[in-house]
Amino acid sequence: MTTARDKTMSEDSGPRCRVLVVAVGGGAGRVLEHVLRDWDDPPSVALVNTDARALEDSEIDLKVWIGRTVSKGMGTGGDAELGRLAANEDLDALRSLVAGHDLLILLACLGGGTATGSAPVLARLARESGLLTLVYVTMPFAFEGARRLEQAQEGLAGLKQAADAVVCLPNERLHTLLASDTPLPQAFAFVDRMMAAGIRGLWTLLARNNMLNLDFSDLQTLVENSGNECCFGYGEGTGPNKTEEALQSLLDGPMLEKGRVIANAGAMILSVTAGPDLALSELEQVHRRFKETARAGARIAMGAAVLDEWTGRLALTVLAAEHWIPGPRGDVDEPIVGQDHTEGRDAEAPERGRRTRKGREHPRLRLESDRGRFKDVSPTIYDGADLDIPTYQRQDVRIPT
Amino acid sequence: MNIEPIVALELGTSRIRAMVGEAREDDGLIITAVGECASSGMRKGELFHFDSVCECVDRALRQAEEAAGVTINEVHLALSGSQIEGIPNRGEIPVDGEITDDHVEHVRRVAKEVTLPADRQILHSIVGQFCVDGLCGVRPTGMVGQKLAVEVLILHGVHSRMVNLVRVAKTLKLDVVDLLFSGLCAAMAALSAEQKLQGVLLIDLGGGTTDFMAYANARIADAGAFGVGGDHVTNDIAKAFRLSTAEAEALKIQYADAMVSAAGRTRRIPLPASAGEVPRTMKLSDLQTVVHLRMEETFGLIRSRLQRQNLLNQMGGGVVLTGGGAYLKSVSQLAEKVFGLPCAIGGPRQISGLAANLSRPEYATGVGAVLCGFRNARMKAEQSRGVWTRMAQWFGLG
Repeated sequence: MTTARDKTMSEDSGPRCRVLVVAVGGGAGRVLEHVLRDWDDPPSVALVNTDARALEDSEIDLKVWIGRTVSKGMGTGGDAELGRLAANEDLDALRSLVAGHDLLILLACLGGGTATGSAPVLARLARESGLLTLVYVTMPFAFEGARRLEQAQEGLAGLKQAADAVVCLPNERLHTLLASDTPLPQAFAFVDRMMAAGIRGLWTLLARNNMLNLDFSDLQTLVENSGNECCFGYGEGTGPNKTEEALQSLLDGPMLEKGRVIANAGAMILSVTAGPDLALSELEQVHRRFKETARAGARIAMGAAVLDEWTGRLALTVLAAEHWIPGPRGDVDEPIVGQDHTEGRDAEAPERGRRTRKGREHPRLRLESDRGRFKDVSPTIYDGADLDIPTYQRQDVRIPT
Repeated sequence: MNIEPIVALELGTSRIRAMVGEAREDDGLIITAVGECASSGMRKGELFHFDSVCECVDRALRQAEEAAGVTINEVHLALSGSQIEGIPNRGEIPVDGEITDDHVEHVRRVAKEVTLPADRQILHSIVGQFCVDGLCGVRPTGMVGQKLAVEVLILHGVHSRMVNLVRVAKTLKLDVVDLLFSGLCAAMAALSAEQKLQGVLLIDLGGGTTDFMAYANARIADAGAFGVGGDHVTNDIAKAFRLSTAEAEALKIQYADAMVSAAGRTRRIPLPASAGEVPRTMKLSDLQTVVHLRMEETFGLIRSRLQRQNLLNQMGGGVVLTGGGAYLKSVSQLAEKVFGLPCAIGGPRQISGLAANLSRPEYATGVGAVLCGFRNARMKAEQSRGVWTRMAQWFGLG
């Protein structure tokens, strides 16, 4: 599992994985602005929207205005069908947006028209262009109305088919994190902050040459075998007990259902962000706790980033795959914790690593045509799998023809 | 007791079937006519093409009308679909002293109160056992206790999908007496009381859906429908060997097998080729593999669901397969392997009818729907007779 890291060590230049973060729709735009606010070394970011005014007002530099003719720059008025049409109208613009990147992190606040309708289109297009596509979505609060929720659920089902993995943050789940008298703007700001923290934690680990690195292939393995669904958790702690605090807020919090998700997950990526005062024993403590909580044989990949401004603070970001399907090779089953640096000095390693990554085919895209006679009816989704797609295809069994 | 002929209309994904049943003198049942039409307007148990379904229903009904010599005005509708789900619920009320029929009625009502998502509607609520102060399986009326509880299984489905099916009947000027879950109907027809007592799992392998009913401890423990059926097997074959749906269907009927056999590895079978193409052959085991994976997965869905509720070890009576999918070669062998239980192909039991071959697995749902209709009609007749006797007594006539 030594791949891209070694490349950076030898070439020592630029981010190792070209990440593109795209927000679709107004809600996601706000989240992205939140992420950027205190981020000094951000990846490429872009905002895609149908609403010309909202685009203009945004602080994000790269803007893609879709659906000029469909929505006339006025947004979609909550109609997902319009959002879909808008994205289809500007496929070329979207294609050139994603070109030249390895990983697309797509943000969408499902429920509204633009996000719900166009996010699946963008995800599919990115995946077809060869990007690993990870989608972070929030689901609407129940009080936003049944129609929005229904629309969001449809959008989510579409995204699960289109993207490599979907990380879903139901706003409802965050309810329990907030005091009942929290004002509405603060509640939304809180959701934005959680999303922002998660994306940043992940990106920091991927983009920098850190103390303990996770690399793109770790993420790729997790995401590709995740059964199209990941769960995300974030916990933070400060002061002398920062590790325990962070662990507690993560494992006892509602985002991972009080640790249930970790107990069920077949694989997870765990990222630690801390200051230079991070002690080895603290990393050990984190790893031990996760190993205890997780089921036997679960794959835990852990990385740590040390940033000067994080002195006295520690944050944990987890991406867990509950519906983990081990790869056909079933290669690494024991947890891989912090690959040590000497291993990478093996002259052959980078070559071998790169070859395996290239050699591994991107999983076959599940195109509409695979659904055959069921292409016009609502899909039978069960446990994250689209049962209308032939079983042998989903289980990757080769049938000679 | 005089009961009008009962007509069951089964809206299946591959077949639409009308069955007419009449009461015999000895309170038994006789099926007097069957009308059938291959349906093309349904997908996965749901309405897909309104007009073609209407036409097909009309044809099936007319066939049945002619054969039975009756005019059909009302039907009992048997339906399935991916959205039908069973949830167990329990109701409990305090009683003081003797339990009356009113108490029983009350506790039933309480048990039926569940909050479902707004788009869902209750199809059946099946009453399980009554418990008085923790003593379960009793007949509560007349007993004395403090707490009366009842377990029910609530079957619910998506309202709009069911309404669409009812609309088909309405368009043809038919009254819908009853909406029935086809899995429940199949169980009514194919399972004996003894099997239900032992615990048994019925799986109805339909064209578009797979329905299941699990009996444990003499009650229905779980039920539901998966939107996966024979059409999926056909579609898988069509995709794997690049065939049209019709060619894949023909190949399935002739050669498909739920298990991969040793003989299949050496035997080659011809693939349909259009004019001008070089005739192709394929290994039989490849076809078997495609079918095996799909069927194993489908059974696996049911198995994992029952396993979660710890029901699998209570199926003393094994597994019974009904529906057209039961004709698939080695399917019972596969079910035995997946569930670890003995498995048999089932069909309607103890039904006399015109056709001797009425006891075929695909007729279970239709016959069961007729049986359901009869049971309900009989109950209604008894109730109304009760009213008449009472009224007669008031007037001093009784």
